[in-house]
Amino acid sequence: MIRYLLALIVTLAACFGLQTLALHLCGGSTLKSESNYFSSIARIQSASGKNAPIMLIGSSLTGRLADRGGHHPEVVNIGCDGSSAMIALRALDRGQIKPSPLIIIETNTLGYAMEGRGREIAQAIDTPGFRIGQDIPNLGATARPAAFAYSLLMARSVGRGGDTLALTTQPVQLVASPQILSTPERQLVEELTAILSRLREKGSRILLIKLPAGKLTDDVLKNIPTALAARTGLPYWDLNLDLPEGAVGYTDGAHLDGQSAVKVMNTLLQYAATH
Amino acid sequence: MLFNSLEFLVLLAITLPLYYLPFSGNRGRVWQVAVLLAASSIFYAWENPRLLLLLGFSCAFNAIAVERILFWKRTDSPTQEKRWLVTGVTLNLAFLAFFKYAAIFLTFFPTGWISPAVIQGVKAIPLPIGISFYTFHAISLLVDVHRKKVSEETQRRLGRRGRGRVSSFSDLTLYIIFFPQLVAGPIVKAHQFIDQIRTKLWNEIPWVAVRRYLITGYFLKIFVADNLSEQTVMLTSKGANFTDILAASGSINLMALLYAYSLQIFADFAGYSLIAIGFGLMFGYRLPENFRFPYLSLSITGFWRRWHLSLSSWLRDYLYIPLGGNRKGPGRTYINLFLVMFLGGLWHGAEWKFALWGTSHGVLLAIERFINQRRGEETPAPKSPLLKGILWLYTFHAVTFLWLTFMMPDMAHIAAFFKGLASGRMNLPGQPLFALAFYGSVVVLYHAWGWLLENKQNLANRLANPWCEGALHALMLFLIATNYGAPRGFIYFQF
Repeated sequence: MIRYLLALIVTLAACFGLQTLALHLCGGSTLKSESNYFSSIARIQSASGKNAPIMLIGSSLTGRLADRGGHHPEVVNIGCDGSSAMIALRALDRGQIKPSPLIIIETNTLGYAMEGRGREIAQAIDTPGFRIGQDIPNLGATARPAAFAYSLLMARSVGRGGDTLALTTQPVQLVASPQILSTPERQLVEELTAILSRLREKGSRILLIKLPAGKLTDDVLKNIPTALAARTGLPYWDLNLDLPEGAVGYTDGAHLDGQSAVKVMNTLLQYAATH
Repeated sequence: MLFNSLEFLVLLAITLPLYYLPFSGNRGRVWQVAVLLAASSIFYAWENPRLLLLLGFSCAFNAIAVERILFWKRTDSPTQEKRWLVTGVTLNLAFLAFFKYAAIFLTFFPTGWISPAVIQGVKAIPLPIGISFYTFHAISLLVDVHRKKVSEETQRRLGRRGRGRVSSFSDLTLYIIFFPQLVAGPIVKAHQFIDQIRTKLWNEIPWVAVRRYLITGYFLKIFVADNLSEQTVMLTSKGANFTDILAASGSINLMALLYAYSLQIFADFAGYSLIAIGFGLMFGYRLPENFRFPYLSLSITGFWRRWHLSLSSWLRDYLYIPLGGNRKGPGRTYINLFLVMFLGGLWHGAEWKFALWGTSHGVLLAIERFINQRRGEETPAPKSPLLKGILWLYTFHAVTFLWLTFMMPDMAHIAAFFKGLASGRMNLPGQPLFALAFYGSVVVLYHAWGWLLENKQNLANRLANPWCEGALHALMLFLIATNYGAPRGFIYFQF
């Protein structure tokens, strides 16, 4: 029994020790897990502990900027895979995540919120396990052993360089336009408007963006992004406008490849530096 | 209530010390049965308390049937005894049929014979959780009592009249609703369990075995099955968009997902069974083993001697043998085999896909039996490693491809799967392949350990020392704590 307990304790200590070291070596968070669910949880858990000046919120399209767009300590990325910005926005509104001075919101997939996508992630945020993961990094989703292994494999796909998107456009303020919204769409815009208004009251600046998303660019858009921009008067930047043919590439027809993710990140960082 | 939920841990933390309060003599036994009955009722009723009424009803009519069978046995009236046995078994089957198979019975009628409102009403009847398991327990009880397979003392206890009926009813109910095996097995035969009801002592708990069963069971469920299920959800989800996705998927992706499901269902169900056995031991009851490294099998016949053993054994004792088994000639043997596998498949759910799954296994069993008999071998044991490899590949892939009929929502999804598989698209899907390698390797290692136990006993004994076991358990606990999957129910809960 003593030999068993000794082996148990020593191995357990070694496992946690190695995990702590690995977490330290990768800068406190892993790139991505093989699980979309845990990748999203990891981004939210990591976000709540950082005081970065820029916060990116969205779906896996945004998440891609984190796992292929290179390491940027000044940016907190809360891209929820298979979901939308609504998950993080609601968490911000409830005070579960601390808002950054500049919040950039990906609007491409806001319509997913009406389909209830990402419900599992939203539910997880309210569980004791999530809070334990926030407080004890070793028990957080970013420190899963599978995430270390998967991130190591993914590291080869991370883009490099200082290129930006070759754009001539800038964020614009849309004037109210007669757009036809269904009742659920209208309710979603109402909720978003209220949340964004409260975030602005807390001192955050907000930029709404539409990311290049290949085959998904128009599929899930509906009228919500422009209606929201017009309703809130917030700056809205469609990164697809004036984007030269072939300027960005995708790994699966919708998510940016490493080089394109770097370009988009640099473009957004340039905006943040000048505004 | 799930074994991997916080509320279960709370229930366990309250029940265990109460259960082992030191009462002397028969009072201890009465107390322990009462505590287990209360805990099992809470465990079962947690999500839907109304289901407890149904379970209570099942226990009550089975108690009456058992008492009557024993009464007529004592008075030496075999006809009356058999009448009560048949009535009891029929009522149990009718109970199961009403809640589980009513909708499928309606498909026998031509369109228009039954009003759509009735069909909708029948389909809306919710399936009481664990009904297939506790109905089989009840049937086993009636048959074992009739066959005198339970001890004389147990027969006396169950046949009590007057005030003694309370004790007899509580013993019988404990056998049916004992929480570790209530909702997803193992299916325990009455004679295996009911004779074990006696006063249990704290210092009799085999803690080494308990920790082995629990750590391995939770590890298989939480680390392997729950993590793989996030990938395989694409195969098990229903909807037109999923058929489109499957048809558009690449061959490697689909094969990775199929292998992942094959390993996941083992980890999920074997994990549950190990946890159940572990908790059974914690309360002083030994439940039967349910799995014996099934993916080491070299034939489908061998597979069913290793997979869901408690169901195979139940079907053999209470269906195959009463039907005549292999004692009534080759033709009848094949019919019995088909029937048992068809019904065994249908036991899993009221859908034809389960019957197809069971029957397909039945066909393969019959073919193997035919070939073996032609060769004059009952259970062939190939010597050549090459032949062993070929037989293993055949068995694993036959079992794995047959899981498609088991897990996919309908034939349209299966067709879409094969359409995607035949596409020849060979793109490498990162996430499914990684998950298959990372989590699936655990199931491979688990079976490698099984192979060592069966073939290299000395080496296995050397490895099974406290140092290795302690280190291995530490690693498993670490991965449970840091790399758990998104919590999901157990696959067999739906049956």
